[in-house]
Amino acid sequence: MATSLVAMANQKRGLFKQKGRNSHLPPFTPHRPTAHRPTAPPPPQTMALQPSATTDIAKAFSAFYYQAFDSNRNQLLSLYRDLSTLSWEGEQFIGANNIVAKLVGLPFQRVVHKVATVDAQPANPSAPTLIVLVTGQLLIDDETNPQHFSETFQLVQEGSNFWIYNSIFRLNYG
Amino acid sequence: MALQPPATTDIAKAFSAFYYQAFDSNRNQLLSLYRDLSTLSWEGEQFIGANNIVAKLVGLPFQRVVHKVATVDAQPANPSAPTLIVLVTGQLLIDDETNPQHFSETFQLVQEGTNFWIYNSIFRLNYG
Repeated sequence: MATSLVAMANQKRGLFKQKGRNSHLPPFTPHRPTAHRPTAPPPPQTMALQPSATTDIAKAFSAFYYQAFDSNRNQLLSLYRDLSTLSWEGEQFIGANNIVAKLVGLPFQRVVHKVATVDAQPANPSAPTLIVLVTGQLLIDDETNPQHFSETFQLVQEGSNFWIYNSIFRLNYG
Repeated sequence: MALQPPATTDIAKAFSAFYYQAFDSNRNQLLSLYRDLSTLSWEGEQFIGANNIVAKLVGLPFQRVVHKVATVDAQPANPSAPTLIVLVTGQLLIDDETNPQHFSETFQLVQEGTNFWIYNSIFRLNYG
């Protein structure tokens, strides 16, 4: 797990920075409303993320993730590491290369995700991670009936980025 | 001290069966699954601590509910602690309604002795 915590009080910091291989993409900086910066540092004895911050992080992550997924799934590589796990409709994949190979190889040309809900909570009292549940619909190729999906993530902060430690995807049938 | 991947699936399925059976019969039984550090997000509203969480669940405005679990997936959530992340999807039927509603629920479970308690839980109905 990440060993250093960058204070989340700095609201000007972009949440996602593009790595070298994706340098053709504009840097991702979520719009953050101007807010009074707290004068006291966060309590030093905890490295957990604050609950209010996790919702912002999760919504920004979700927007980025599904935009990348819908435009070019190769772009997702920088979000995974060797320790990442994906469960896709019950099948498990471990490691960034295996995960992205599965996602890039999915049998459709086009997909559009429409996110309905994003919820998040701090996942660890002593490390900067969060658990996220996304629900929504997706439309594939020329299909006219959207399918419901649910996706759960555990995200880990590393510097000013977040990477995906756990991910579980399910279509919701019936 | 991480949990092994195959074990997490067994744990999650056993937990899910227990959780929804308790939920459907008497929601007060859920108290032992939560601690002071537990968090519940219920349709976007947050509750922290076992008492607050169970008060919310017991106070839900229906007499009867039946959950029908469709899928349970799980992964180890921490390389140095016995916790797992779980996604449950399924349907539920309330009171005399005839149209089931789809739901998704995410948990992080923490092992304590031979038990597992709920550290994180997020519940959403899937509309449309």
